[in-house]
Amino acid sequence: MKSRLKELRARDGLNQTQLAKLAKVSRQTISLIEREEFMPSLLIAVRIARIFNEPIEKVFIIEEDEL
Amino acid sequence: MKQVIFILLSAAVGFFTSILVLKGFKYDFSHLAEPFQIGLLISILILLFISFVKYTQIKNLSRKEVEGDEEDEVDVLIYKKYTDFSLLVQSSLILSILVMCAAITTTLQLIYIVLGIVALIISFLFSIRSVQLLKVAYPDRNIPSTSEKNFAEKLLAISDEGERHVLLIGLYKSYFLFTTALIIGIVLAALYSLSSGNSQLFSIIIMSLVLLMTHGKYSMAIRNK
Repeated sequence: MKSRLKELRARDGLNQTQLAKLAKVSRQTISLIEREEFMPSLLIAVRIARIFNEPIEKVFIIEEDEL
Repeated sequence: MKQVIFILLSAAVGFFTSILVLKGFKYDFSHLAEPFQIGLLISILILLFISFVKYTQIKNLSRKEVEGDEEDEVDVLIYKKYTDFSLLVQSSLILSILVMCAAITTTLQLIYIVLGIVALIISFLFSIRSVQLLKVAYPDRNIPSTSEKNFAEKLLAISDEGERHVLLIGLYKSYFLFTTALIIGIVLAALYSLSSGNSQLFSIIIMSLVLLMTHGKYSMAIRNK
């Protein structure tokens, strides 16, 4: 699963620490998601999508072969 | 390729050890006890000094007023330095116990026993400070106090899913390393018993029990889920 976290953070002028505080997770978790080393739970994915005011599928991109 | 080299090296070590044992090779390490203890004490001193430097660096970094990407960079630095600090303190704790045990079982010199106890106390105080340091580094987080009941469980409970993912990978790797290291330890203790003439049966039994307990605990933890 790919994510557009880095791009969306840059768009909204947020650093990882700020996004982590808004999503109620640690900065380490945000960093792991950005590096595609960890797939977040649905709850955290929804929280992050809401912060960026985007539909969840526009933030987290699942490739066809992963489904 | 890596695995082939590892298997060949293990076979070579096993072959030469068997030859030495069969030829009645004997080696007594007891005359190395004193330099060993001095070496350990110097290592503890160095470890504690570096721990103190890391401690100060973490405190200074957490006081730093930063914004933007620099805030993330500082957080990464604090995290890495805190991990180093924990490793250094745990290492000095283990080495202090080793100094004391080595002094009690070999030279029986009071000075090494006392220095071992002093090193152990200082290392223990540092390990208590590590939780305080965690509170300084992450003031927004509800970090439990060491005096609280079920401290370890509470500390795990405050970590989020990403942190638990990292913890799981680390623990899984160390679990397998621990198992392999203990099996090697049992084999080495048996070889030492043969080469020195001093039976290490007690330590072999203890290491085997630790292995059985660890595997049993792991199996019970995953069995009923």
